Amino acid sequence: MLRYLQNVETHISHSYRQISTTSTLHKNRAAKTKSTSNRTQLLTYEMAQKPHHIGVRKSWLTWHSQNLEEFRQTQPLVVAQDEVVRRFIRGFFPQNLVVSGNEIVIKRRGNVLIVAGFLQYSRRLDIRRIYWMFGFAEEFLSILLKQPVKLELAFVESEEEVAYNYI
Amino acid sequence: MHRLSHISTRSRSTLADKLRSAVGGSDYGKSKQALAAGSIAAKDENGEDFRELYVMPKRKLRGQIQLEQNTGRAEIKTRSRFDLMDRLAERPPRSEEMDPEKHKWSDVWPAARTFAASVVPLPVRMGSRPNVEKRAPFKKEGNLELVKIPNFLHLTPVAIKQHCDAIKKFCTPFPPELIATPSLAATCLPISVQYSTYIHQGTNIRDIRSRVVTMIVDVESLKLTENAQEKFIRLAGKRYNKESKKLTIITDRCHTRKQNLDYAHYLLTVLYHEANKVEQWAELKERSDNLQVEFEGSETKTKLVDLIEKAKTAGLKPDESSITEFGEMWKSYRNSEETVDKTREYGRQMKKLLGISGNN
Amino acid sequence: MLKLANTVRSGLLTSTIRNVRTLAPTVNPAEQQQVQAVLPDKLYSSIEIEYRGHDKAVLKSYTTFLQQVCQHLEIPQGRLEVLPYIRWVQPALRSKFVHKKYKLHYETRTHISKLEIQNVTGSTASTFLEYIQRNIPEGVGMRVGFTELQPLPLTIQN
Repeated sequence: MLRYLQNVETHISHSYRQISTTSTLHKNRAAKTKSTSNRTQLLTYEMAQKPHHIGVRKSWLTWHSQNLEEFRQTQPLVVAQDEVVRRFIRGFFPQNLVVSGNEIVIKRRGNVLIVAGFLQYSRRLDIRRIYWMFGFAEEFLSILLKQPVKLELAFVESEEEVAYNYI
Repeated sequence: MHRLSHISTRSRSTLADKLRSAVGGSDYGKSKQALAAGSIAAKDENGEDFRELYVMPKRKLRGQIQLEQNTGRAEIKTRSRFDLMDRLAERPPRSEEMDPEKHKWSDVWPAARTFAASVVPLPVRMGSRPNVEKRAPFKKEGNLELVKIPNFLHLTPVAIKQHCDAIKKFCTPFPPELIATPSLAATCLPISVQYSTYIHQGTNIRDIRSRVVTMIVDVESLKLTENAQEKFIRLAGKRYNKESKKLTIITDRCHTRKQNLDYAHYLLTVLYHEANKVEQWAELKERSDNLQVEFEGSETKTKLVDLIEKAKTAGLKPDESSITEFGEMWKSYRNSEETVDKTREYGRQMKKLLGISGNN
Repeated sequence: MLKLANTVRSGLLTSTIRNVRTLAPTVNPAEQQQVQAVLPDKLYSSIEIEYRGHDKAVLKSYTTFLQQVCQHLEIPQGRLEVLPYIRWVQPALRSKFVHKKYKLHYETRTHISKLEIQNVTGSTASTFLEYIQRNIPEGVGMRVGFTELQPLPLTIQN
C-alpha cells in the first residue's frame, strides 16, 4: 500500500509545472487577449471590455439570485450547474460555436434554467438537425440538472456578425 | 543424345516446352491446354469447363479517372449544397411583417423571453461608445448585451392593465370601518403577527428564515386587574415595552412558521392565565417589592404633610390641593431617568406646594 | 457486601425502569381545543416588499412595474425606499509569492429597494404577490414581510 502511494506521489510530482519566479507573471492576465500582428484576432464587444467594466459597460453572463447578500443558500450548486451547462453546449455544438462558446448567457427564472446566446451556422445550415439537437440538449440537461431547461439560442450567419473589433 | 538427356532433366520448364513443341513431340499442345483450362481441371455435368467470373465495377476505375484528369477530358459534375433547401427557406425577420393594426404586442410577446432581434420591431441600440466618431452605432442583431439584460417587453403598460383586469376578481376590499376608525383595530384586533417570505431562483424553494414569527400584543386589550397586570409585567420581563404598553414575543424555536405561531399563542395564553392566578404568598408583598416607587405611603409624603403644617404655622400659604399633582410628578421623577427639566419641575412644584413665590 | 451490591444494582435497575421515557400519546388535531380565532379572510395592516439585485436599472424597472400594478389593483401604496447598496469585497493577492502590497480587488454590490403596501386583505395580498412573483426578473431576490392583524386567541376570554 505504501509503495503504491509512493509511486502515485512521484507520478503526480512529474505532472506539476515547475515554479518560475519571473516578474512577468505578476501581471493580471484575466480577460486580456493578445493582439496579433495582422489583426486577425476577432473580439466581441463583451471580450473587448476589461473586467473592471462589469456592471458599468458590460453585463453579467449568468443571472441568478444566489450572489445577493443574505440569499446565498445554494451559491456553489448554481456555479457548478452553470459550468456543466456551458461545457455541454460547447461540446455538443462543436461546429456552431461563436468564439469558443463565450456568447452563452444563462438565466434562471424560478426553477427554469434558460440558456440564451448566439450560435453560428456558417458552414452547415440543417434546420431539422438543429431542431433535433436542441430537443436532445434540452431533454438531456433537464434530466441532468433536475430542473426544466430551455434553450433560447439564436443563430447568426457567421462570427463576423458578432465582431466588435479585430486586434 | 547427350544434349537430349540434359534437356530431359529440365523437361518441366517452359523452355523445354518450347523446344518440345518446336521438335513436335507428343506433349505438343498439352501444356497449353492446361494453361488455357485454368486451375480447375474439373468439368460440370454438361461437360463444360469452369468459367471464372470476372466482375467489372460499374464505375470508372481509379486509373481511368486519373488518365482522364491528366489529359483534361474529365467530366466535372456540380453537386448542389446539401443545405440548399434550408438556406432557401430563410424568411425576412418577423418584425417586418408585423402590423400594429392587426397584431397586438401582448400576443407577440406574452411571457418573459430573452431578447430576439428579429421579433422586436424597435430600433434599439446597446453598447458603450466612448468615442462616437470612431465607432459605428451598435446594431440589434447579434448584440449579446441586449440578450443578457432581463427585458420587460412582456410587461408593457397595456399588458399590465390586461393582466390586472383579469385577476381583479380575486381581490377583496379591506373593511373600510377599520381604516376609518383606527381605535377599532386596537380593540378588535389587538395582536399583530409579523413573518417573512423569501423568493429566490433555483431548485430550492425553502428558506429557513421564514420560520421566524414576531407577535406584538396590546396588553391593555387583555383587561387585566392591577395586580394581574403587575404579575404579567414581571413574568414577561424584557418582552414588555413600558412606553408603548406592548408585549413582543419572537419565536423561532420550531421548524415551521405554523408551529412557531402556535407556540406564540400558547405563550400568550399561559402568561394571561398565570397573571390572573392569585397565589397565597402574594399577600406577603411589601412596599419594597413594588415595580415602581409609589408616592402613597412613602416617607416623602408624610414628611411633606408635616412640612405643610409647619409652613402654615410659619405664616406661608401652602397650596394643599396640589399635593396630588406633586405626587404624580414625584413618581415620574423617581421612576425614570433624571434630567435637568425634571429637576426644575420638581423645584417649581415644591415651591408651589409650599406657597413660596420665587424667581428661581 | 455482595447482598448490598445486589440491592444497589436492583435499586438502580428499578429506578432506570421508572425513568425510561415513553412516547407521548398521539394527539388528534381535530379534537384539540381551537386556539386561534378564525376570521373569514386574513387582514394585513402592512406588507413590506424588499427586493435586491445587482443591477440598479433592473430594480428601477421592476419598481415602476410594481407601482403600476398597485394602481390598477387599487392597493394603497406606502412609501418607496431606495437603500444604499451593500458591498462585499474580497481582495486576492496579485502575485504568487510575496508582494503583499499589490492585490486584485473583487467586489459585489447588492442594490436594495423597499416598497410598502398598507391595509390589504389576505386574498388581495395573495393575488398581488403571486402576480408580482411570477414576473420577477432573473437576478432579483425578494423578501416579503407581512404584518397580520389578529384578534385575541379563543383561550383568553375577557
